[in-house]
Amino acid sequence: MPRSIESSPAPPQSLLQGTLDMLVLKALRLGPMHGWGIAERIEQGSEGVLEMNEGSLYPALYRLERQKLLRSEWGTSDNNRRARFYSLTPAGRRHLAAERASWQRISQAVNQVLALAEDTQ
Amino acid sequence: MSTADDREKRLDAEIRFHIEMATEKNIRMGMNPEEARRRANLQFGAREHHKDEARNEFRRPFWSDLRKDFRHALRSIRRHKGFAATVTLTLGLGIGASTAIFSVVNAVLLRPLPYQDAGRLTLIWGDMRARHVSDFPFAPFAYRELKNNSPAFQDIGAVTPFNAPFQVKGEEPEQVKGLGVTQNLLPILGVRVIAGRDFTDEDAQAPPPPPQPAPGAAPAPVPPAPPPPAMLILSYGFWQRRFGGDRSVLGKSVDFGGGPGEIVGVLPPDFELLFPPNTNMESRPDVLACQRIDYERSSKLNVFMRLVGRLKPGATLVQARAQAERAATSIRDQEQIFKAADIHYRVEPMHEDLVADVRPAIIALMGAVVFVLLIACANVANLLLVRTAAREQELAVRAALGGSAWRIVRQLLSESLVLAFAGAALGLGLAWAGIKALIALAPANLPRLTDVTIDTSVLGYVTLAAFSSALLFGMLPALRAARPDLAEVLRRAGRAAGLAGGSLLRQGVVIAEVALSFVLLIGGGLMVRSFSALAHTNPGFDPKGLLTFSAGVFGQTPDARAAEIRQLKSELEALPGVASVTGVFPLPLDGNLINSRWGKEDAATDPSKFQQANVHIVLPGYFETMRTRLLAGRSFTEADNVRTSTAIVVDALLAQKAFPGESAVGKRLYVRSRGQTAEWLDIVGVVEHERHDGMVNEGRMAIFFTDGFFGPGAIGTWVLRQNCAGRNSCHPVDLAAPARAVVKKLEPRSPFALVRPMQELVDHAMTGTRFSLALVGVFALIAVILSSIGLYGVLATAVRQRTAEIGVRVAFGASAGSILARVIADGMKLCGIGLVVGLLAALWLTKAMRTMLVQVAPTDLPTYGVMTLLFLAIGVAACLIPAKRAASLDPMEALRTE
Repeated sequence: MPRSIESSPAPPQSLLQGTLDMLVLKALRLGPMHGWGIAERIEQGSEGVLEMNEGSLYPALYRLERQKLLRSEWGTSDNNRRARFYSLTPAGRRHLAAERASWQRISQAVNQVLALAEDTQ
Repeated sequence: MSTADDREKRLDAEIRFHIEMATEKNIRMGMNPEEARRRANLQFGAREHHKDEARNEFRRPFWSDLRKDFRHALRSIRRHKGFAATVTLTLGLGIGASTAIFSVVNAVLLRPLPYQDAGRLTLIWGDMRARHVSDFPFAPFAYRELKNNSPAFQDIGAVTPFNAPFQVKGEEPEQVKGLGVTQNLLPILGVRVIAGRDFTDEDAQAPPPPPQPAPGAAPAPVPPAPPPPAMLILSYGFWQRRFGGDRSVLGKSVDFGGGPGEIVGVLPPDFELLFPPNTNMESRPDVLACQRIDYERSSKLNVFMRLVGRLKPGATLVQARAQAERAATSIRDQEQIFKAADIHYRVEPMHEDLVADVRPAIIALMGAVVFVLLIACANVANLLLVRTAAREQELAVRAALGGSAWRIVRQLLSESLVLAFAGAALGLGLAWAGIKALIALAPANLPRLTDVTIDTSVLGYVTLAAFSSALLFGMLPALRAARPDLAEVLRRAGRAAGLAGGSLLRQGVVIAEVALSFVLLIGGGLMVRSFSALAHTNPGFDPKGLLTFSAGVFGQTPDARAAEIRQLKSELEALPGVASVTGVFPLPLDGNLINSRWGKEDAATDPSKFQQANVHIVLPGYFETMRTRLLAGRSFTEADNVRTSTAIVVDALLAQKAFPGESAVGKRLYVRSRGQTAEWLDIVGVVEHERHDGMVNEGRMAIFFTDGFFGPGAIGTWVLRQNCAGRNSCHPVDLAAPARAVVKKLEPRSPFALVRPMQELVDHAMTGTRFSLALVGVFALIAVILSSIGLYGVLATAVRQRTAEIGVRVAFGASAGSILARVIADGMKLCGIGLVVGLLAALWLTKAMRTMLVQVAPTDLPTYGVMTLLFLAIGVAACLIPAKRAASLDPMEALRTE
């Protein structure tokens, strides 16, 4: 079809934003952790498939903390270094449970899009 | 949260920790330290960008999101310059037009009058219910009766317009426009002089009456005392122009209106007396003169005062009206003639009364521009819908990935807001230019027009218009984008994504647009019809080649004045290029008015049978010079031009009213014109009706008297007819200079003023309609252009979407002609529905235009017919381009797009 009207691709980080929030909450279900640890958990959880820009984790953490889904405090890491530890709030737990329900559906949809997009290219 | 400094430290610490951990991990995996750190940094990504995002999360979320939204909006607008320009231009037109008209609404209807505490000012009118005259002035005794018996008023003042010669000794006399006022007028308005003093009670003192000789005694030997001077307050403009702002003129004696005068004060520069236009009140007078009225002796039938009252704080209009009604009852009891006329007093809030004539027209115009704005919004909404449809997939994915619906709506709305404000800025510029054009075009009956400016209220309006249009045109696409049927959109990914629903919406918008602009087109058509009716209205005389000016004669005796008039007339007639000369008062359309009462046989016994007519005092030869047609009988001759004559001429309206179905010539009328009592006069001729009140209204019937009948010198205006034979066109103004020389030679004391071609008065009487025509016409034009763009846009998109389908049709043998017809039919379906809706709306809405229309009904059939055809033609034209494109599609090409 003629493409006279441009369809602008969204910047990648906003594409991921909703997903990333979800993954962070999921990672913290296992217990309090610092930023680096969360990144590790997400990467392991996706078996390396979901490679991410690790820096984008921090805006997500701050956002979730602002939304009172997380709280944070200074603590000491395994190797005895000072680190900021994040943990789920009760609201965060509830949010995660609710989101999990719709996650299935959405990821399916995403798969579909990706598949179809490949078809047409 | 904590301070910005703490947050910054925390952020740095966390990132440092992260990088160190990543580096250590990489070293464990066998990299050398340098490589390990490099990879860790790489994996982290653009550090400053992430820090920035994180900082944003700290900020108050609303503002940070807003900032992001607007940054995003600006980016997106920069990417689509053509789109943004189209939207800005469309909105600019809509907002500009509506802002210009709103500035008029603001100045005329909303802003308070330029007087202190103007809400308590009222105008008071005589309402002669038996004669259907509702703006009758007051006689001094009636004014005093009302003033003394109306405690709801703090005070009531009176004002009378006049033109009078004003002369500083030894200098040229000059005709000044002035107002005769009671001494309390300025305090009532809350206006203070800026130099000199206000009027005092002494200034209003009437001269003592001539001494009555005691019975039997000899007449007093002392000559009567000279009349006291008229005290004058000059306008700031006149003071500057005539005296260069010299303060030493205060206390100066001048010749004023044929008697002594003395200058006592100067008005502030912005003084303006606002009165409804039919009173012929000079809003920016040169001079205020304090009237010396002898309330005891002044004739009860000498009506000239227009009243302005200030209500006491806390007093209500209802109280004031009740008290005025009591005063009117007393007046009716005191004077039989007022009882017969059934006089009542009408107290109206000043501001409302001033704008009563123009309010419906202004509101109709405001309605028209709001329509233009709505059409502009509809067009933009359509453009946005098309664009959102194209972005639908992107938006759907975003929604799927957790971008909240509200965020998406906000993002699209902020784009709309940026566009709307760009449009508003352009609109403000257009309005600024438009206001200048408006002022140049505007009719005289639009009060306070000079006040039309862009002030804070107008700026407020622009802001409001921008916000609400952004909501209007942005909300629909945004809501649609925020609630896409996810599965549907995603399933159709890669094909023409989700346009079906959007196109229904767009079609609805186009129908609304067509309906709106059709209403405006009808309005424009009605105005064109009105103006053409007006331009073909016969004023009852032939203005071409007529020059008018005012000049007076000052002889002490009637004979002297008669001789002066004869000489003036014959010398003017002798001027080269002059075909004929006559004199009249008042000149048709010049705004002056003399009333008279007339009746038939029954009026002699029953005063309630009197009717009101306009009076014109003319020289013999008047009808011939004006080329007013004589319908029956004869016109005036020199023999009628004497005091003892009983000959009058009436116009066709009066003849028809007084003697329907029979000839008026030879009949008698019982007329009160000169003196206190009515007298029997003979109709010698009937002429066609001359327009006097204006070109829009037919006006009142008229009686013509000779100048000699009133005592020579009653005429004030001279009319010269130029001999235009052998010329291509008439230039009556060429006669002004020689006529002036004649007047100056014969009547050195007379001003030579108000020099105007008669055509100018006729044109002036049409400015109101021309003004409305220009405005409504321009709005209708803008509306039609916008809605045809809208129609074209929707069809063009539809054709593009249906490329494949059309390709199939062509492949199966559909002819180009049938495709063309099909697309046009689709477009005309929308157009037709819009037309029907618009037709119904127009029938209902154009009622608001009634006061702007001349000799045309709001339901004028030819206008509706022609405009419907015109609109259909425009519709076909808008459909033609997309239709042709569809018809010329190559089927193979078209099918490949699927």
